[in-house]
Amino acid sequence: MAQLTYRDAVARGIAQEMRRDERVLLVGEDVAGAGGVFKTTVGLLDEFGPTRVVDTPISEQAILGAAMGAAMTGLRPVAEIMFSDFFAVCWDIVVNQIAKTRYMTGGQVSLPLVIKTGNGGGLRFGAQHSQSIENWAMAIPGLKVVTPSTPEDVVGLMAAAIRDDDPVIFCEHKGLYASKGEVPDGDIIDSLGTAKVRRPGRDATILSLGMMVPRALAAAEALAARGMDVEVIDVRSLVPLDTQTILGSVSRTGRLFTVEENPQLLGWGAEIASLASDECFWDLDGPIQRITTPHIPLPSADSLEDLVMPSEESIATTIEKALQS
Amino acid sequence: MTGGREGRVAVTMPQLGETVAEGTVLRWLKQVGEAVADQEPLLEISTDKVDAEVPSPAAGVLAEIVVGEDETVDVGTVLAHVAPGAPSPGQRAEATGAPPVEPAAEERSPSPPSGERSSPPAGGPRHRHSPRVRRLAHDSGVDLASLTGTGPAGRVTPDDVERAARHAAPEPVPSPEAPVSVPTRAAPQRVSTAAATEPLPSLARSSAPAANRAFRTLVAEVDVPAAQWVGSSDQASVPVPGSAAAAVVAAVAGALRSHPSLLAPGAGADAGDLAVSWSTGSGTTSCLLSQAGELNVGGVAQRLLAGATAGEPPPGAGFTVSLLQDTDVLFEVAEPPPGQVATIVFGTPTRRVVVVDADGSPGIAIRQRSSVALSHDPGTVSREAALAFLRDVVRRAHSRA
Repeated sequence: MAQLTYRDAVARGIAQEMRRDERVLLVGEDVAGAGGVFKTTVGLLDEFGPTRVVDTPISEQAILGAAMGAAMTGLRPVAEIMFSDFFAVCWDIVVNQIAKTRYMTGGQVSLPLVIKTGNGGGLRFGAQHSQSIENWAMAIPGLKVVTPSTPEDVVGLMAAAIRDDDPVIFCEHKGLYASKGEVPDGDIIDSLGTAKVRRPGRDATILSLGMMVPRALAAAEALAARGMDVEVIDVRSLVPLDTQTILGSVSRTGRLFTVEENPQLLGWGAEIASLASDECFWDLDGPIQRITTPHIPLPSADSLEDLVMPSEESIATTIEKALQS
Repeated sequence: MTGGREGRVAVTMPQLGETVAEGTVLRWLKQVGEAVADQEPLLEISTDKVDAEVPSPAAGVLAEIVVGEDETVDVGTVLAHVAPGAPSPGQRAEATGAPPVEPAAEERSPSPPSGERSSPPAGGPRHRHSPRVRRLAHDSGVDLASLTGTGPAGRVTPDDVERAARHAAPEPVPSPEAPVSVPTRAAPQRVSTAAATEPLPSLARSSAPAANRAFRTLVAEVDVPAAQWVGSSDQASVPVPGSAAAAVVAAVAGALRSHPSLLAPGAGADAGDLAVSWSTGSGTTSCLLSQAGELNVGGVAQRLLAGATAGEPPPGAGFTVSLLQDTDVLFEVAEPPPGQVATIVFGTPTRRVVVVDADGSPGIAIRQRSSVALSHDPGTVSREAALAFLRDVVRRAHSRA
């Protein structure tokens, strides 16, 4: 057991799988010589050499085109899109090629491919480098989407993503790279499609993802001090979705809140709210409420970005008000 | 009186949705002569699409009501007139043409405190109940109108309903009828009611003392999977329930989560242990499942296999399920064990001919079915609650069959 940062956990997860399976390789801008612009791939070039850890030109289409071709030939590439916002410049390859290859070849060709990406805001990177794009990806049949919130989950879910035979979008939250957590020694292999209850509670269920998980947990502690016992679930995997854990919790508590680092319109919480109203309607003891960013680009000014992102305080206040009305 | 007097503002039936052509006045919230604030609700209306409150277009006094309660008029029809300005006794007299029915105007504040309007009329629809509260009330037979809510703003909480369900006055015990005999091959009844004062000896509880409590039994039938009911396993020395039995046990466990009033008092919706018992060649075998409502069928089967223990179930369970193993017995009426308010006995599945709906016309099918006999203490569990629970068990079992 060792303390590890979230960013070091990324490299550890990739290294764990590269040692196990020589078909695994890493491609992306500055992932090799520089160890990644966010330092998430430090040491991999030294250990695995330039044929398996490959720097690419600044071209997202080239990165994913190369990775897709490699996956077609039987390799298991991990490709990096440095900022998830840049999926917008290679979306054709993701949506029309990578996501549809298994379907359009009648299952003859699968793409065991992980696209890792720096996602999310909070670092004053401005509107074009701060978005949370899980919503974009989860709308496309053929893509799996995960977002870990702890170093241990980074290692285990990276292993699960690399071992999966289909394309997985692996969202690393940039705002969590410097966070630390205990990580067990030895290989860690997690499962896609599993949520984790981070804090049990009986009065309400709070779903959160990525950097919103620690904020939801802090809000839950603040609420506990005011006599409200809320359950915090780390959704972790949007596709596939752990409906058993999520809906089971909603059925038990009767109240559902989502904390999302994205605008409310078509955010991931809308899908879960829809599921909950289908499956748990008669267990609900109040309206489902979603805590999101407003429908605007994320500002770069410190005070404005802090204002629009769900905070410990805004989460606690919203939930307290809802539970007491 | 006629409308359109100078200075008055007309209140019209609003357009609530593009396709709505008319609306009905449900209730006037203000009487003629009463002061009204700008945008304060004047009346409630109902249309094909929504019920809504109509606000006053101006501050002043409700001068005239044109359309009475329960009358339906086209959109745009004048419903009332409001005389703008502060109320005065003269205005009121002029408007109503009659002495004011309310206390003198100076005792009234121009804008009544909101509490005045929010106090509901007796049995009125002001309080909205959450789906969970409505389901709990429905399942436990609690009349929501009789409850005083302890939640925020007087809202009825799920705890309020459960408390009321636990403290519900005992129902009169049904008049004893002839004890139910166990028919060997009677035509299966979908749901039959039987009252018994002399419980038949149960396979599972043949040694239980005859407490002679009154209880009531409802019997239904369920489809069960064509899989093993109770049989031998490599991993157990005694016959253990197979996946068909696990499916019906899981149905009961799931239904109990939604119907906690069927659990032994104090068991709690989540904490109630579920006892399962079945007979073997050498006597009774049983298993205590904790948190059974959290398990799927596979989980129930595994726990039954792992936990099978010779003997009657230990006391303290929240509910008991017995599994019959005799194809000659259609159903069995068993007394709830001491401390428990209800129990279920599943008959041994047999293949039965049932009439099914085949694309709108009746057809005949062969189904693997079991009887479900739910016995309960009528003093604690209402007939409605028992029936709702039984239906839930059947529904859940069918979704797994």
